[in-house]
Amino acid sequence: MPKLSRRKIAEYVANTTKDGVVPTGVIAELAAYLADSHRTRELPLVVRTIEDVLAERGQVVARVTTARGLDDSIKQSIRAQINAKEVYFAEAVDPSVIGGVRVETPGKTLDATIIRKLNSIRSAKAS
Amino acid sequence: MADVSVTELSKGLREAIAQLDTGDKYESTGVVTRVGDGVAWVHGLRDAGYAEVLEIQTKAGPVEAFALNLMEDEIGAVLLGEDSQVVAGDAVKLKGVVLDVPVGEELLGRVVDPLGRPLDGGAPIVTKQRGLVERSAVGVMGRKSVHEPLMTGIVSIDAMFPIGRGQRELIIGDRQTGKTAIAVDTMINQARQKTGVVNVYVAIGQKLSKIARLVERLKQEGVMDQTIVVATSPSDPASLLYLAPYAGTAMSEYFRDNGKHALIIYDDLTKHAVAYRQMSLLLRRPPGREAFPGDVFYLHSRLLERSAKLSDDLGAGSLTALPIIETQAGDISAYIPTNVISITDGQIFMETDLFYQGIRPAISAGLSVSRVGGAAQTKTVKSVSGSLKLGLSQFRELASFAQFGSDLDEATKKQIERGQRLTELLKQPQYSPLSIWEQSASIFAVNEGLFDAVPTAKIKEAQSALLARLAKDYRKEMDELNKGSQKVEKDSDSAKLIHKVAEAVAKGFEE
Repeated sequence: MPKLSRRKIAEYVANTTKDGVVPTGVIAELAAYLADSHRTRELPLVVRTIEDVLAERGQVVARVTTARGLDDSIKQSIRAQINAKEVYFAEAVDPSVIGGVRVETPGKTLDATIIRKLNSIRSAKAS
Repeated sequence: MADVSVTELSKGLREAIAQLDTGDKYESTGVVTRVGDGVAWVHGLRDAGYAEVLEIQTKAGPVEAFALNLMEDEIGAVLLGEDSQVVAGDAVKLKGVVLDVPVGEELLGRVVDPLGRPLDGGAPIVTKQRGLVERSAVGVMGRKSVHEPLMTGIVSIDAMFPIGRGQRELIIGDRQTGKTAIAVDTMINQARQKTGVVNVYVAIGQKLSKIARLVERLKQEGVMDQTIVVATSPSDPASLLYLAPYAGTAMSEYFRDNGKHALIIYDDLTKHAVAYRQMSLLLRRPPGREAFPGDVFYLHSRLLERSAKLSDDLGAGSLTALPIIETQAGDISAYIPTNVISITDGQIFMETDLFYQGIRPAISAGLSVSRVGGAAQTKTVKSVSGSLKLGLSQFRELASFAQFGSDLDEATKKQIERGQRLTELLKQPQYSPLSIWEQSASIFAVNEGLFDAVPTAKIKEAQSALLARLAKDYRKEMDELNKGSQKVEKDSDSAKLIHKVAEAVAKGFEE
């Protein structure tokens, strides 16, 4: 069997995805394929590629990191900023960002956290 | 940043923070998936352009890279700094610019790296302008044919293989045959003759000790004020070695485009090709002949095509290139030598045999050629050197033939004797370039047979005696001759003058 490109795999998975849900059958299929072709190490890249393909079709996965968690008004403004048909939120709470918000969507990042500002001040001082 | 008074501390701090903060932008990012051997593979950043600069956010601060392989879902980027700090998972941002370097007069007298950062411990370099590292060459209408001479000060080159401003003349030969010496003498001559030509010396993977020695020498000779040295050492990443000639060219193009004349020396392009081969193999491009990638020809042709003589509309500036190529055991049919020979407008071939026979500079009269310089040779030198190359080649042939028999006719014997004297005359110690009148007077004296009575071993002494006497007693005439527009022919005044003095000098050396 010829090696399938990540892009091909991602397109297949994206085609089967409906309303942000991937059928369990497809997951099992993909897992079996990756294991069988010794490509499990590519897993993070495959996931990224699937997200990329979905984003092209207007379904954006947004990984949002905050220190305290999100409320609906913030979600609303993030949604407006991203400007896509559908936005799925993957929330993470990480006190080490101190404050602010970091939004990661496929291929793009908005980093408005306090820790980044502090780091940039620190590196500007160092240079 | 200006000092802030205590009373305005809060305002000052606020401003400082505002300056620091680049703003929270929703921008394209990628992630490093693999890294090693100076190459990083980046996932994402699908809008990156070819040769665009990327910024990798590492724990120890940003590291720059430039994108060379744009593939379906991955970018191969070559790091411009250390790869030890970059780890998989680091975020990558686009800088939105292609690579450029500072250019301008401010660089004169400095030693810099290919990114324009000082290496000489001097002040930071601040220039008004920046020049693109990769830039396309001037078109047909922007050029003019090469017509002004670029004097190297080396008699055998200026007489037999003259170089014109805007020409690309290759210096090729084995290791230790004096290739760099020719380039350095040419740079020194630009200062001695006050030609106003700016020198740019690009050291590609040269030992730092050698570069330090060279810079020291240039300072001693007073050439450094009109010289820029772009230095890379063998311990620099291959990406910097690859960039060095392009960066040096960008710096010299500033002078070319402002109506001035510049001379650039690439020392040497063999190492450049090797650095590019390393990068290409690490980027997994398919190897071809001698494991070089498919585009090594383009690598050097696009570089050397930027050397040009500009048209009057563009200010009539020029950029002359002296690329250097090192051969293995005199093999000029290897891949890189044949490529560069076909790109350049001629080559000066250095031979190991000649070097060890004591004929230095060890320039081979048979294999060297200058394809466009003839039009640029000064009238003065041209008038005396017309038959020099032919005579010398014939002499070499005769000499090897004459080894077998001793009974030669008078004419052949004479030709051999003349040839021996010419060969002796063309020997020239390092760091002593000669001016136009010195070259013409010496060649004229030997060609006319005025030194035929002087023993071969004493030709150099007779030459210096002649030059000393001419300089002392006939300064004005020689200065006139040095302008290069006067021919030295049978009945011209200068010829009569040299004839007279040479005869007198020769008497003192006869046996």
